[in-house]
Amino acid sequence: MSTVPDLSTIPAGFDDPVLNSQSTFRLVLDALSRPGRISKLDVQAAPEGFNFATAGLALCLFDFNTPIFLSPLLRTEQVESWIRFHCSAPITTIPAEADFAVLAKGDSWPNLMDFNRGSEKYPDVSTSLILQVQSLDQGRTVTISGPGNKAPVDLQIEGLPEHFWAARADAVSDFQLGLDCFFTAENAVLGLPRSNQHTLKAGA
Amino acid sequence: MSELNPDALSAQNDTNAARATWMKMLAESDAVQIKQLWASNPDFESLEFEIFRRPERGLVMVRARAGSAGERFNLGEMTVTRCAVRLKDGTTGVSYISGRDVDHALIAAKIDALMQTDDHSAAAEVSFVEPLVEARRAKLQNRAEKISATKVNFFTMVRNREDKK
Repeated sequence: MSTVPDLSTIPAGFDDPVLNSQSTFRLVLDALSRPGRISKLDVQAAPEGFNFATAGLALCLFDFNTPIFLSPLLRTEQVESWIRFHCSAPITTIPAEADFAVLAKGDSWPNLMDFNRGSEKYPDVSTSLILQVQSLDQGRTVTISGPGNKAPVDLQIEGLPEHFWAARADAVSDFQLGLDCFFTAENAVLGLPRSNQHTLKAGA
Repeated sequence: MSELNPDALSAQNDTNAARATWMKMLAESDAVQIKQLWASNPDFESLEFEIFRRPERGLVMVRARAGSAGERFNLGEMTVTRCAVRLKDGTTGVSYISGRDVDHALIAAKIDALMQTDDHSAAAEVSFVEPLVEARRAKLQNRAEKISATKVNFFTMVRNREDKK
């Protein structure tokens, strides 16, 4: 049974849906094609639990045929109503079914291998992860290398679970299967596609 | 609907039915008339509406069944403009109108919100809904009269075969 979403508290979406989604899409494209570069999204409102960058990605990328997985802390009335109202996207609780997964910091994250990593024929149907973190310029240094950057790039991402990097290494080990990640903090987004390998900097 | 209290449910249904009636009236009304009515009632203009879904145009697939029992088929797409606004107290008004008139959609959503408030529903009823209902009734009556004026009565004349000779 579908229930009527409570509209009285839903935050607004884009001011100008057409132009804002286009400019956001351009930034998202840049984020994935230049891994490690931080893009700032112009978003002023988000439901409680989402940061502004996640809200921007959602408004830009989610639609009626992209099932969304939410980590437990985000499965709130407000977030779900907001997604339904602005994106018309279905919510799923099964990681493998999701086209996008939004995982909140400090929440219990499913095993990354449970998400859809695509198939050999259709690697593009994989789940894209939107990972909400504390900050994109602090924390343990990780070096990434791969298409998009001539030289290896150092990242500092604060607020990831302990085992995240090991799990990501497994998830992208058999290219072309894999998961693409967006890290978001406040209104900043940083992309890390499956094509990039990462190494943890020793001693940090 | 967590509580299945029959009284509460039927009260809810009544509210929904009433709201559906005025939403239909707002959607079917003449765009020029609704804009004139809105402009001639400047009292409501001072209220602050947060537009959390700007009027946007889109296509809706209209589906139908032949004879209400046949296979469902796609009749065709129609243009729809929708809008959602919110008053300060959280009351939300939404509108779905056919066509591409964004102002019509915006005004219809605002009136829908006003009709749900305790403070403004009576005034909005008098200022907007009643004139629209009256205009619609007049329009339908006018149409019925035009049609009835062209009514043709068929009757058969008995021909006298003798005349032909």
